[in-house]
Amino acid sequence: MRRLAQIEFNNSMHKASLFSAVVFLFAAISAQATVTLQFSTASAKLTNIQNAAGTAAGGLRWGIVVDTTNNGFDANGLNYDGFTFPAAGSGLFLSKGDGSATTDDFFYFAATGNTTLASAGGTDSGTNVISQLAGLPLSGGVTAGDQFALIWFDTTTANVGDKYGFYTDPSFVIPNDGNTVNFNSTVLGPDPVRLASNTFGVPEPSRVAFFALGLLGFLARRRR
Amino acid sequence: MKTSCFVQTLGVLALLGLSSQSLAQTTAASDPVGFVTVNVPANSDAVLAVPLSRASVFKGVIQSISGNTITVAGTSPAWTTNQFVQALPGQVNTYAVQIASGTKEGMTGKVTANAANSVTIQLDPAEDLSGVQTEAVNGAGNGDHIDILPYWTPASLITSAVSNGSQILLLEATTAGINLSSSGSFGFDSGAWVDENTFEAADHAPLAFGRAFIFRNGGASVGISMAGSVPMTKHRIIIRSFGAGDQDVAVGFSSPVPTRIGSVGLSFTEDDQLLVFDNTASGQNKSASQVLYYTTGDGWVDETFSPVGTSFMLQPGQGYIFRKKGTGAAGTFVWTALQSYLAP
Repeated sequence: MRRLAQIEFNNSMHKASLFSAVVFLFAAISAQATVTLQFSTASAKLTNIQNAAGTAAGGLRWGIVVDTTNNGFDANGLNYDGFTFPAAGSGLFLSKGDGSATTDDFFYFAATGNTTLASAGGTDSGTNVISQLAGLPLSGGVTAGDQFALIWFDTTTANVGDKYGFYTDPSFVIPNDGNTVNFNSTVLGPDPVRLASNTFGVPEPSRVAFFALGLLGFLARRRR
Repeated sequence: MKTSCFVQTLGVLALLGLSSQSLAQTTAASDPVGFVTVNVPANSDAVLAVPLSRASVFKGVIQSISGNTITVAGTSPAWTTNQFVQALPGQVNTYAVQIASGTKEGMTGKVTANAANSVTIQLDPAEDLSGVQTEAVNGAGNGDHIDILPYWTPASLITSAVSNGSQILLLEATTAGINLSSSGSFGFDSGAWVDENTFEAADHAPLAFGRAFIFRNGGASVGISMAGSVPMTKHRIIIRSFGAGDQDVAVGFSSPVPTRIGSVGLSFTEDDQLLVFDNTASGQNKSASQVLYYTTGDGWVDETFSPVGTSFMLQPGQGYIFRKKGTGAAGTFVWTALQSYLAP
């Protein structure tokens, strides 16, 4: 596994960096196994994945988040920090704003051509369908047996203040290498509307920086 | 594993007649036909590959080549512009040109355009038309032959009554590695096949020549019958590795009769492997039931290192995973072999 870049968090009061992430590129791995996750098939579809406003706006980006140590998603997946979107077919470990830097939750963004939601007809038809994620590499901490969740984004960015949706099910488990699995039993039939209702937060050290800036302002006013 | 293999010879007379005709231009010629049936247990996977071809719509001789455009010899066939390019809903087929003689025999290219007597094709990036002989350059009577034939598609290949929820899992390797999962899928529902990534209609989506795929049975046990023309040209496909390490490639052999593995030229590097799957066993995502290894000293051997080059038979209709031993860099290999029934 080759580490492409590590963006160091700079908590300087002059230039507070908002994101901390480590990005891995799977393409550089010489020999890797993959799995394919089918959330929708011709006969059963996962629909109604909607934006924050609850409208069936197409083109939403999506991916998966893997609990790589199977200790439960950090903060139940509801309090991730904003991050810079990785390239399609790669991922990064998410962080959350309680001072605990990166978590063991790995976000993987599907390869090009499989990144956005659209409508689908036929059996179990509907809008905003999550179809399938083919060729997920079992590497970078992702192993068979890991619990995973679906994550989708209200906009094309994952910045502070942007919205995201998060959904998991007990059946959402990474299969063994080489396997193609579907989740028909979970998605068959009408699906409830699921909104992008969570908000990407600000990493904790940035909050310290902003607080410090605010304190400086207060001190400056007092001095004047 | 059991595969019912029954090659009918209804087209024998047509074949004999074909051999005596001038091949400057021939349309709608007949090759021997047959069918192969593979029984798939309920709700289970079978690794399949098509051992037969769809009927050719044209057989002829190459007059000249310019880039990737082939002009045929003899009286102009007077094709309609782009009649060999899929144009739904009326023209549903995707066509290929297959080189039928010479050093590149068996090489196929997808037709991307055609004029009255020429076709433009798209080849695998590892292939080209160098070495293909033409009447113009090599003299009258020396041009290589070509066939134009349609690709197999889900609707044309799977004509047996299959259950809703059945799938064709594509195994087109685009990434380095082994134990690779499906690259995409077509699903069957309410009488039609759909692409399960885009949910667009897929009845007429072309299936690659010489590649294995998984048929995932969505219901009761079913016999998948594949009927078509007996291939009359060499088997030829590209084996591609994407990285320095071992690479899985899903393959099949283009022959409707069982063939000794030692006779098909599938051997490039010490420790190449062939993963064999038991299509009679129930279950999905099955592991290989047998693994063969290639050795430079004894040819193909089984898990006990006993030579099997003359005893292990590649079965018609059966797909395999060829695990190419890593050579330290990405690369391509040409797998070409003459079918036993075509041997002089």
